[in-house]
Amino acid sequence: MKNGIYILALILFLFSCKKKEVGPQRLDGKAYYKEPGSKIVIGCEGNFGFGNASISLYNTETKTISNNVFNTQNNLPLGDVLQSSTLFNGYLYVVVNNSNKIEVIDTTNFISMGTITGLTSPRYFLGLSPTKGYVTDLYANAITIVNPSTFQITGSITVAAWTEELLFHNNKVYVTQKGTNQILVIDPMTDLITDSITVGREPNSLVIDAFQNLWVLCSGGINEAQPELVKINTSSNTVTSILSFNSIADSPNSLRIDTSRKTLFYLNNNLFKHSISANQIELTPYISSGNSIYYGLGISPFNNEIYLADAIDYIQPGKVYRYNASANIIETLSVGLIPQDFTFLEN
Amino acid sequence: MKGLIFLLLFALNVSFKYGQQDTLPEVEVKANKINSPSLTYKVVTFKIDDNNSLSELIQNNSAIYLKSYGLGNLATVSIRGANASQTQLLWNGFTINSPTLGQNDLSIASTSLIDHASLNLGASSVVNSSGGLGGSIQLENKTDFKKRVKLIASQEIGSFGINNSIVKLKLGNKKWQSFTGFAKKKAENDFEYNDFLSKEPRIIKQANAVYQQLELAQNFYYKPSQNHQIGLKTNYTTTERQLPSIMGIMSNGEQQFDDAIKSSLEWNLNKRNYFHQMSVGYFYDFLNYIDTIAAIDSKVRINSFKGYYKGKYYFNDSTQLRLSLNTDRIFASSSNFNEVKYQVRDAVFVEYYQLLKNSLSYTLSFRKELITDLKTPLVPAIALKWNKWEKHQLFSSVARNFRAPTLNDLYWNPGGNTDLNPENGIMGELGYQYQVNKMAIGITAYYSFINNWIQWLPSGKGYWSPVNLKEVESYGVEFSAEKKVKLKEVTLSLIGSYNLVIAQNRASILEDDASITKQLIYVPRNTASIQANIIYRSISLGYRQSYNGSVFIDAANQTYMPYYAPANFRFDWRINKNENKNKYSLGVTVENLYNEEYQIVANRPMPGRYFRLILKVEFNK
Repeated sequence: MKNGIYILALILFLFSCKKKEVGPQRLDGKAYYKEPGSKIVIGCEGNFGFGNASISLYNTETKTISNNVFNTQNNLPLGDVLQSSTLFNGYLYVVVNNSNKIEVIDTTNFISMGTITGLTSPRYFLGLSPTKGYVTDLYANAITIVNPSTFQITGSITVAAWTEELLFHNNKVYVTQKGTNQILVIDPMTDLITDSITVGREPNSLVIDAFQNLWVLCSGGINEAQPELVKINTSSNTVTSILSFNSIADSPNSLRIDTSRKTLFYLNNNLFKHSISANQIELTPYISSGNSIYYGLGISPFNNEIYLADAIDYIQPGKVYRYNASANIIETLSVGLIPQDFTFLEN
Repeated sequence: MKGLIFLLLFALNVSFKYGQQDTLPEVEVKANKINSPSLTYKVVTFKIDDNNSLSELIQNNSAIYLKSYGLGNLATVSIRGANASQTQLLWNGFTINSPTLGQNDLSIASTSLIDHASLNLGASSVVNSSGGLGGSIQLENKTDFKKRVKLIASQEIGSFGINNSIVKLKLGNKKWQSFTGFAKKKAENDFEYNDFLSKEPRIIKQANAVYQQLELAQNFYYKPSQNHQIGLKTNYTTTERQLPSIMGIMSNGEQQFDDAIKSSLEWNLNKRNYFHQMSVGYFYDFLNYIDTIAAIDSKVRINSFKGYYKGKYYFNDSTQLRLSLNTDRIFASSSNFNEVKYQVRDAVFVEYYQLLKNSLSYTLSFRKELITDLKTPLVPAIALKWNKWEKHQLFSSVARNFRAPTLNDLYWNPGGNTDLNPENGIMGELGYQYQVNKMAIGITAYYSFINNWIQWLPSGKGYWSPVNLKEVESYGVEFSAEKKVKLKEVTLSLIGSYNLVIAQNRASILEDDASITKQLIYVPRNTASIQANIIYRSISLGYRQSYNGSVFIDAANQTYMPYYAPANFRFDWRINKNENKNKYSLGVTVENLYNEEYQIVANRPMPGRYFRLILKVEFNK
């Protein structure tokens, strides 16, 4: 019995030893790569409520991938869910939706320069001047006006519903207002809504083509309406053409445009290519996703290379497939959890 | 480190073999109760502690991994690598897993007003229901027919505003028994933690975490003759909770309200050659989740009418037949369903038991369930037990089992998938139990294979949808040892347990799926606990050390939560001058004795050291 007591005491001693690790840990704490070369920032959503959003960085020249760059460089988790990242004045504005914040990151070293906090449920950031930026929001019923240099909230523009992607064109800001099926036109000098354009059900993304037309992709909601690709003339702010998708069950998203600004790309489970002169929706995928679905799309503004994100089972690190402009695969990358957003940095 | 602990536990076990004589009063293996598996399966029974929730009861009495989001917050178990939905919870013979979620939040499942709790692992759960791919937990109310007037009242206060009051009144004679119970529990759960997610490390108090529960129970038992017994059992529980956000995130002030009514009326007839039990039950469940910022106010309301017949027929001393018939009619309305969903679950279960020569016994059983909109497989099970030698017992079982998709899996709008197949499992175990007066050792090896494992994924149509995604193989070992030593007036008892769980994904419908051959998330490979109790006259001291090995938190096993090993210490002082008279006791518990900083679920802080004081009085007339 004595032996038993000694062994018990030993076990208790072992258990009472202090340890260092608390909270989520990583096995592959890869260091940040400092080689020059154009880099692609891959925003990985992470799981809702898990605090595991991350940034992966891909060097197209050395073909090296660095995962978890934000955590490594800042020794801090990023939060969750990473919704979007936008390059503005040399800084990356990373919108972390469920963490209600925007991390402002220096793209030379990926150190956080500041955090915009106090947002309700931020989605996308658009930088307008060193002192003004707009942030769309899921629940706030407002576009938040922020100062990108001081990281302060400076005001808000009241809107009716959920706002998503936005862009600046011709001294106007065009905002997809998903909740009311509209494109809002805002004058960034006065922060007033000057016009609104009704489009299809649930507009989610938008681009400007070579002829100054605004293209808007509408998902159609969940079996609520036919998805649509809508063309808007930006001088008159009127809809000039509507192309309907084949099936009400489709849910197209992530509208992108190539460097010629004459070819559109979007996801509808698979990748589709659409010439701006085409007069109907393409039925054959440009790149097929097989069993899984593509969760994010990026088109390089330098060479039209195609980056497709696959989140696999959404609880494991995802994959990114790099294709050249002719849809030949170049490489498969292992990135962070739920890759979704691509930002292309210049050298 | 893990291996070392395992070895040490074995060493401890070896040291048990020398020297003790007296009797071991608490026996782990109990059987032959109508609601428990047959004579051939091993069942683990828990000693009820009034003041604990079911999650605490499991944590304090086994090495089963409890996935807790924090004090008073969601808690579920993972048994043998299976998930929370693959564990069935039964109340007085009826399954009470939420038909919409498929699981139970064990942090709000109270054990204050029940009399008996037990655990069936693996194949043995098919006796009571399908769906227990990991196992099932039974909660029961029962009584004997002694003449009594007994009032038990306890008051607990503790750190973070813990304030629990329990009153129980038991009245009865040879024919009638009544049990009235009242329990009110409250905690602020505003403990401090180190917020290491902020840029400047800071200590903050957990916010939005108040927990309140009120529970009422009234049971009547009537025994008109020696062979008949009638029982009416009712329980109403209402819980109001604030749900804290994860570390580093501003709270949206989320709240959850849970209301539940459980009731049953049962009749037992016990004759020499047969036993009949019939029971009908009504169950009501209401869940309301509110997040005002996100404009979510979701309500789920479920009414179920259940009934069963259970019969046992003894052909002779060594053969018996058991038959049970179950019916379950579920009416579920939810903010996420188009309409009220009606589901019927009917089941028939037949089991034949025979004791052969050489003390070898076996049971052979079949279960068949008919569930609305679903094709379910036949569930056969076979179990063997060999106890030729009094001290040694060998047992083994093999069964098929399935778990039906939940109502959310089937009908959630949008995304519900009515083409889902049930999760299909095959499982087996081989166990050995050694038991003498003052010690017991048990070791069980198990294996299970579950295909059609359900997981929700984005459908590409703008919403998520469940699919039959994986094939999961699990195997492992469960080891437990118990030893009692009596030295004059001091009784020392030691209980140790260790679980090894290897649970890996074997196949996937997805391309490039790196989770294949990897351990499932939030399933620790190693868990262990050791408990020492010393009783000297009216004073008892208890020490419990647990060890929960690290768990992976992504399916490709690249990120993990580190191990944690909180200990607790308990001091009890009982004053009871003589039997059947008034009793008083005072208990002090120190939880997380070494003030360990840890998290179970990523970025969900757990409290450091904290205290609980319990005063209990019992009046007998």
